Amino acid sequence: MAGVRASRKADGWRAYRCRLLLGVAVGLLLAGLFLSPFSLREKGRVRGPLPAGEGARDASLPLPRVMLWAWERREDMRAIDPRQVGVAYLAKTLFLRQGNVVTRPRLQPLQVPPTTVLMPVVRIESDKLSPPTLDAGQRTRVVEEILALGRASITPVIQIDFDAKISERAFYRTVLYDLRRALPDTTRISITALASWCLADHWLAGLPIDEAVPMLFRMGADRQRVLWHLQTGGALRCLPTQQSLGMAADEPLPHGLPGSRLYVFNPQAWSSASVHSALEEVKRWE
Amino acid sequence: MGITRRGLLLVVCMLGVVLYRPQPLSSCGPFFARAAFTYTVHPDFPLEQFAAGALGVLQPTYARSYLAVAYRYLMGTGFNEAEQKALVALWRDRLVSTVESNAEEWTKVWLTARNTVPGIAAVARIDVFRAWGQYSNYLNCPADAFTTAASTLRRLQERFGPESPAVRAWVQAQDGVFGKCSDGANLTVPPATDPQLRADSAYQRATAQFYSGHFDAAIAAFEAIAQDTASPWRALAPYLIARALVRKATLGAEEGKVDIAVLAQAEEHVHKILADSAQREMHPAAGRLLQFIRFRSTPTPRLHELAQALLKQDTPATLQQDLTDYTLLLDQSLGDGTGAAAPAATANATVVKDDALGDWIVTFAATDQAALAHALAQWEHTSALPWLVAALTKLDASHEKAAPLMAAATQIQPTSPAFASVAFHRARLLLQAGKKDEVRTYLHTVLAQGKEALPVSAANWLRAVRMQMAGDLDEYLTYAQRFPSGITYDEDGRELPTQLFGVATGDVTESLPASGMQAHFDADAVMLFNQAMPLSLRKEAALRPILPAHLRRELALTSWVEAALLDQVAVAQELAPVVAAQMPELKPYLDAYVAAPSQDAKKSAAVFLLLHYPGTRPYVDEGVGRLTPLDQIDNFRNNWWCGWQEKSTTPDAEGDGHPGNPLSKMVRAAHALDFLTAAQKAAGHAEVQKLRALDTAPNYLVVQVLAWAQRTPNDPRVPEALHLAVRSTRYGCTDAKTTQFSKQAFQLLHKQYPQSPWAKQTKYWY
Repeated sequence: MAGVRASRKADGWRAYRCRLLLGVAVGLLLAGLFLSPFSLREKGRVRGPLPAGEGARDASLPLPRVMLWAWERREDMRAIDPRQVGVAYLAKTLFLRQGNVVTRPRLQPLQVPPTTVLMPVVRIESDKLSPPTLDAGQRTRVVEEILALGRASITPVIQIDFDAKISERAFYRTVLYDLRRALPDTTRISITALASWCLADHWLAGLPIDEAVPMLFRMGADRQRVLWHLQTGGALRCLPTQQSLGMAADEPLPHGLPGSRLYVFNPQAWSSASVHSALEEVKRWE
Repeated sequence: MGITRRGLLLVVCMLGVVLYRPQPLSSCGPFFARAAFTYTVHPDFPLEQFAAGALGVLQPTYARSYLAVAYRYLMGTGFNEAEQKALVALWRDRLVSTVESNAEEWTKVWLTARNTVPGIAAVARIDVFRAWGQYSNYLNCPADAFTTAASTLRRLQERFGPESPAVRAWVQAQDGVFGKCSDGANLTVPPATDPQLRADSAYQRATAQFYSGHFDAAIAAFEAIAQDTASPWRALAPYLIARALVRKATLGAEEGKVDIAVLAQAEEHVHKILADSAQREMHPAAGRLLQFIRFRSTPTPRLHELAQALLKQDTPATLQQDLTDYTLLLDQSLGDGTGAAAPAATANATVVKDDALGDWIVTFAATDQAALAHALAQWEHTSALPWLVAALTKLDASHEKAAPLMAAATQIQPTSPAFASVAFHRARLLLQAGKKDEVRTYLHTVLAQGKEALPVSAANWLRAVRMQMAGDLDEYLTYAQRFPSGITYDEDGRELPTQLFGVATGDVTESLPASGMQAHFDADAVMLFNQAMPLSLRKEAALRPILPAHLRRELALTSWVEAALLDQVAVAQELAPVVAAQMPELKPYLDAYVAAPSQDAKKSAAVFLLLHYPGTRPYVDEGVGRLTPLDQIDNFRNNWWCGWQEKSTTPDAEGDGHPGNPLSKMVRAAHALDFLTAAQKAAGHAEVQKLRALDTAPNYLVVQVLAWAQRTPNDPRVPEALHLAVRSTRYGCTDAKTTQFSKQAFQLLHKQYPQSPWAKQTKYWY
């Protein structure tokens, strides 16, 4: 009879354990249903701008309202007023070629007034003929190259310029996360963005970046749609807490967005006249 | 109650499904492939044609190197075959070569040799750039450093054996030298007793100083080597002293500045080498170094020297470098206002005043009145062909000098390198003067010339002028269709094909259209189709056999869409079978349109077709147009149409950041089609106004579907239409109002048709 009792006790424990597990499972299931985007309770949830993710940080960057991009050409910008204008200069370009990263540092001199706020820009390009592998080794190398710049630079902000295709977004996302972990807290991350990324494509949400600058120039296929969007009063906000825009000196926008930090690209070397025009453009938007 | 294993597994699986959150799905750019009918910044590809004298219609916006080449051809001197190869090599370097890619190749020579030496760890890469100042870098270790090192290694291996400790020690020291290319640690060179090894070590120490930027120490070391009669590096040492002096002058000073006094020392040193016949082996390298020095020490005299050198014939050995230096010096003096940027006014170009080549290049590119006056003065003074071309390019038909220039233009034969340019401007000026019959007759003869006289872009320029004088629809259609000179994604404004000289310049993963090189409509023709030609005439154009099938199809479909949108039922009815015959996949939808019993029903049928075919729009596309299949959503949202935009403030007519070519503006200004009757013009204008009043496609389509659902809620197509309408709000051209329309369509679908499979597929509004 003891054996029967023991057996029944064992059976009871097994039954209890099963019920316990089932209860936990159902509880988790119900929790998931409430939290899931497929919730039956919440039909047709709008795919609007997503809230800032865990990676987003304070949007106030220590940069002037107008930043001039100084690209790979000889730039003598000593005539700028550093109280009004900062310089985002191309510091290096990284070419992703099969499994390699080929680096081209800036090879043209840059002259600026001593107190100018400077931001190094790292451009990343995928080789067209030998597409990158986007593997872990390549990713590590990209991060190392960017970090090398950060260590050498005294700027509080680094900008990454990468027109990542959809197939490259996972790679880019991981690069940004790796970079964020490796950079000191005092160094912020800004990225350039295609205009379409900030319209109805929300892949930037949750990235550990402090600024995303939609480039409203040389938009190619997106141009008509973006200009229409701006013309009809649409907002162009890449991150919920911050708004910056990029334009080209030879492609002024018919509509601006007040309150933006404005980055300006010039297809030619900057001159006093073109700097003045850029500042006038900012005033036009106010 | 017991729980079976199967039940537990089911719960676990459900958990997995519920808790898994798929990653969100879904360049400047993106850029579409477009047909390049003419170019702004360079001539047609392949550039070998231009190098051989096929100048086409010269553009003031061409880069200066092309204009320099054109000048020689116009002067009658031209270039021989070897020189043409040098020109193409220059353009190849400028358009596709990159220093970082070259650097990879240079270091491979050394690394391949070095990594075979046993007993030392392999080296994967060498950074050849070194920081200069705070922001920039310079190429510190060029190709010859690595080829020299590789050949030295071979020599040592042959003498001491490949596994010799001496070879290993030398390689390790050489690693230290190349570490200095970027920012290496202190160099350790082991002592050597063998005289040759001692000499090699001395050379390693000297080059390490050189690459470290310690130029005075490097000079002293090379001077010692120059005195060492046993050193294999003795002959090279004086040249390297000069190199060290040049680096000291250009890199030792403040970033961007040059120490002219030190540069003068370098020049003096180079002259000594060139004067010493015992150093004749180094004379070619010394000569090139002297050019490098003079480019920086005396740029203006050097500019003039180069201008003279470039006009001499049969100079293939120096042509590439001379033209490179010349155009760089022009850029330095006048700004790099090449191609699209505002060209330098002639008033500022005093630096080229006495330089025939530079004077012409600057004048030809400039757009101010002073440039025209100067071109005319030079033409009258010299009667030289380059000045005739320059003057004609800037002239207006009303100018007092138009008649004598036009008379001179009639003398230019098809065999002349100026023929295409002169023919184009002659036609343009005749058109401006209102002499349309004369233009027609003239262009009939000109366009009959072969490709030798008229490269593809030149023919397109001429066809653009001819099109404006079309006397009837067939004539218009004949000249509206043009063959592209190339297909480009034009990601960087250089209008390059995706592959050039075997190098990718664009996204080669995008498949280029097989139809790309067929005839297409250019921007001027498209503008007239879309803004001037009434629907009734476009309908006729869609039936004209003078157009190839793909262009008839484009016209037929866009005309049908416009007719359906504007409720021009008769036109749409007439076009429906035409479109169906050319596009059988649309037939069921078009048949439904034709069979629909009322205007409202026809509108519903039309909207149903539009929703299924995101590539439909009421206007003709230029060039290759939308390449995504008609029934597929384009990933870059080039779907349906956008609302009418007010005039852009950009100076670029094409609206893609490509600064306008002045000739382009001249030719592409919208002219009324003369063969249209007043009634046709009025009808065309009215239709355009109505189209402009249409809302952007997603908004329009949703409104139509909502009205349709209200009229005939039991129409079995309505749920699908609502689903597709919501889809259009995601992938179409949206604005601030689109979200509310999206929500309305979504809610109606779920409220009235909850059991429909379309409701189940529509999980979101946008």
